[in-house]
Amino acid sequence: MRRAPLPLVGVVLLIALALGASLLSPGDPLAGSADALLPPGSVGHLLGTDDLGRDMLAMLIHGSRVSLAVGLASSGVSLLLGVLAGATAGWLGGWADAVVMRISEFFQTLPRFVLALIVIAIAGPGIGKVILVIAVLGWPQTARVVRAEISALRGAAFVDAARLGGMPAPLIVLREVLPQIAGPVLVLAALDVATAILLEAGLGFFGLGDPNLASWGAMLNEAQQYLRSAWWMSVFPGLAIGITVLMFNALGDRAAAALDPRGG
Amino acid sequence: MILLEATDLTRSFRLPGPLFARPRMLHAVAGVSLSIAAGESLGLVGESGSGKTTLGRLLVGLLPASSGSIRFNGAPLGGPHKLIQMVFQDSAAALNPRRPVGQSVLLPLRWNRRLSATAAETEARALFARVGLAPETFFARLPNALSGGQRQRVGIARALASSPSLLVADEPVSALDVSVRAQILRLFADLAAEHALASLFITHDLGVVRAVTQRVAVLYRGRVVEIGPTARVMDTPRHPYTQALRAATPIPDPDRPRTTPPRPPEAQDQPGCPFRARCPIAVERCAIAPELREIVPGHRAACHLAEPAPVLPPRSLPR
Amino acid sequence: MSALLEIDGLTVALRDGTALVEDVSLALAAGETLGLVGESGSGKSMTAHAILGLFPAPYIHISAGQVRVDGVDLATLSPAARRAIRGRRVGMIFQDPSSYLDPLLTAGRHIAESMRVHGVTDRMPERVATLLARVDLPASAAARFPHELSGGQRQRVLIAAALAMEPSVLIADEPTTALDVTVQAGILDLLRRAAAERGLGVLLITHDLGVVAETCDRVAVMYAGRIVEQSGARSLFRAPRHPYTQGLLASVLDPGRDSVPFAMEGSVPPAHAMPAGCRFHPRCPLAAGRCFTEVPPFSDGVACWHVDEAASGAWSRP
Repeated sequence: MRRAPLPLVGVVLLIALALGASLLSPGDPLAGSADALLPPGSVGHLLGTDDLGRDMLAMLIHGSRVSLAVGLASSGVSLLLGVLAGATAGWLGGWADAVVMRISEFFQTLPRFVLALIVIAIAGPGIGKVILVIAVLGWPQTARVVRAEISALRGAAFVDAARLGGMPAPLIVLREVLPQIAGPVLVLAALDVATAILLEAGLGFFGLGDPNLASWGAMLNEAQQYLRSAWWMSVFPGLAIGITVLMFNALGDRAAAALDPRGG
Repeated sequence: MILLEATDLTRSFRLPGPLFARPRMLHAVAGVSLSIAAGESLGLVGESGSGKTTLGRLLVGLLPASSGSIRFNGAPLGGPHKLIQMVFQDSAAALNPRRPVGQSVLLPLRWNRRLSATAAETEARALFARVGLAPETFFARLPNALSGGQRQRVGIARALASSPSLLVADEPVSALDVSVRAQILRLFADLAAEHALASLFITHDLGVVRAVTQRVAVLYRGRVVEIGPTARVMDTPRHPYTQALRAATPIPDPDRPRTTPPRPPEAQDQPGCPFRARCPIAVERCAIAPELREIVPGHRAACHLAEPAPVLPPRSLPR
Repeated sequence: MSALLEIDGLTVALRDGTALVEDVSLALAAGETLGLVGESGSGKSMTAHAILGLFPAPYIHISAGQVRVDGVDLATLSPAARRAIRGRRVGMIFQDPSSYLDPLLTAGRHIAESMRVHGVTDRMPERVATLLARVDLPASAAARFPHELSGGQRQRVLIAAALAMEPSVLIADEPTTALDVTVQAGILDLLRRAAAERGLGVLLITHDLGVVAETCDRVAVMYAGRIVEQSGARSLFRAPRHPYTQGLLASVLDPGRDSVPFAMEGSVPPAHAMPAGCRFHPRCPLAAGRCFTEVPPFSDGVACWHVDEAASGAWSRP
């Protein structure tokens, strides 16, 4: 890469922030105080405090952990599921293809957010469940892209050559074919991270986040009642979510451009 | 010794059509029988749509046949075989665009030949040198940093890496410039002699066939219409289609213009001789499909009107 | 004999000054077919694109020389006037007819469109039928879509569209390369007839010497961006003078003769790494002295320092 792309820098900073939250944070995000609803710029509370007197900056910094963990973990799981399902369908074709594609279509017709809401409401909150639900609902898109690319590449001459060279089929898919489609798949994965962060925030907003963790969605939930009186309670977590989602989207686009062999 | 023998080989594809309609079938290869002897170079000539590429893919085991059989070294061929290798027409598409070309040659050495990493590396570099590419310059390059001729040399090195006894080359020089084409053809000829390789050389270019093969099969709409020693088929073609091809091949001599009869539109599948609609000498009898028959020893054509074979003395009935 | 198309000292370069075509001069007279022959990288297609000012990329431009059509220097014209010349005075056909035909337009619509852009709108069905007849297609072909036509028929449709405005020059860039030999002949015959009957000047760009021998009156051979030899077709094929032309002719494989393929070693140098002096010298058996340092001037139909030695054949054949 000729120059360090801004989105990559942003994502790396965000990850650093999440990892070093306890060092960087000005205090315990869950510790309340008497100084409730202090506006930004107050002494000791750069971004103000919420209705329980908790430091906004500390909550935002710790909240990045939840967002990133859910985003990265669930998109990782859905990537794995999607590539596995898509590669199987695309390479084998025929009935295997038909079965996998019908299942993925079924999942795609489900309204993701509502379903996640229902599942969490029934199963009870917990970050692990949130990750799993988002991942299971997210794989079909990846699967469809992988399937289309693989069934197109299956007939490529260099794949024929690898078959004649004696390479076993699973390895041909893994080593010869999948790297060719890393571009579109990584773009999807980055977009998946963004979607997952939004979903998690949405669940938090409805009060279904993990109650033991500070998360951006939960912050927005609490901010509802103070929209007029304490704007900072909604604006800062909102901005954090928005910027993070944009960064992952941009990162996906950049990755696509950089990985395209024709671009070099 | 017969190395590969195909018997009544057929491959059909389903054509896209309206839902629930009876599917229309395209018979890309329709009942082809041919054999290749060890060390022999057989040419396969035809125009686009003749089925020559499909036949090539059937014979290397990359495509399953709809019916018919292939025997290689006496055993039925059920899929890719390490002793049958292929050189592809589009040298760029045949190389993994993300891998240094050296890796593509290492692949068959590691899998087909089961060589250790170091032995494979040594062997691959030797193969590069053999096909005229300095390994220190080219081994680590990506395919798009090579010219078409250089990529085709890599393709040949890769095919040789499996130590094959049969090489199927599908239009290996048709994408190359005239001056590079000759270099590659000479490389083929040298290597075939060196390794006692048999080859199937698929091409639309009669000049190429004459230069590198001993026998040639002419394919028309999925069928072999003529087969025999290359020089004889080129000099005295017996099938009207071969004659038309021969006459249509341009020769760089302003005083020898080609004589191509106007080509009537392609007819739909009809019974009888597949060339009937275009044939200038077709007669009523051609409504019955002609079988390949021997015209002179070793030279066969599928035409009722090809010069008749010497009449055999009537067989005497057992008394 | 007045020239319909004159190219004078044409140089086509990249923005950094790398020349793709250098100092090319050609003239095409009415009724004449001129073959422009070369391998890939020779600059033959780039020359054709330069004539119409159509370049495959924005960073390629004409850095020197003139292109005159009917005596008018194209560089002096406005972009609109140049566009009007394309199609009206100079028609063009290409190697791959499919990519120049809109899959959603019928053949008839495509041909009609080529006239409409030049303001012709009346008696359309009649005009289309006449043009189709001229390229030996039945009138019913007007209603066909590209996918319903064979490769040869598509090329005929493009020729009909190119001839619609009665241009004086037709540029044909590898028009038969993608076609089977039995189809090629018909297309070439069509071009020959258009030249003979209507006085069309045809510039035929090809790598196929057989096609040139059959079709062209005169031939120019290009190597690495320059013309190395130019002469009448018969004399070029009978007695080629440049070592490259000789090598090219020797490389042709004749199906009627047993022969060992003749190979000129090496390949065409890339545009950014042109050798000094004669560009063919790294591959030339006669290269010596000035060949390495000085560009041989094009004079008397050939650009070679050793024409006399080459006259007896530059390549010794086994």
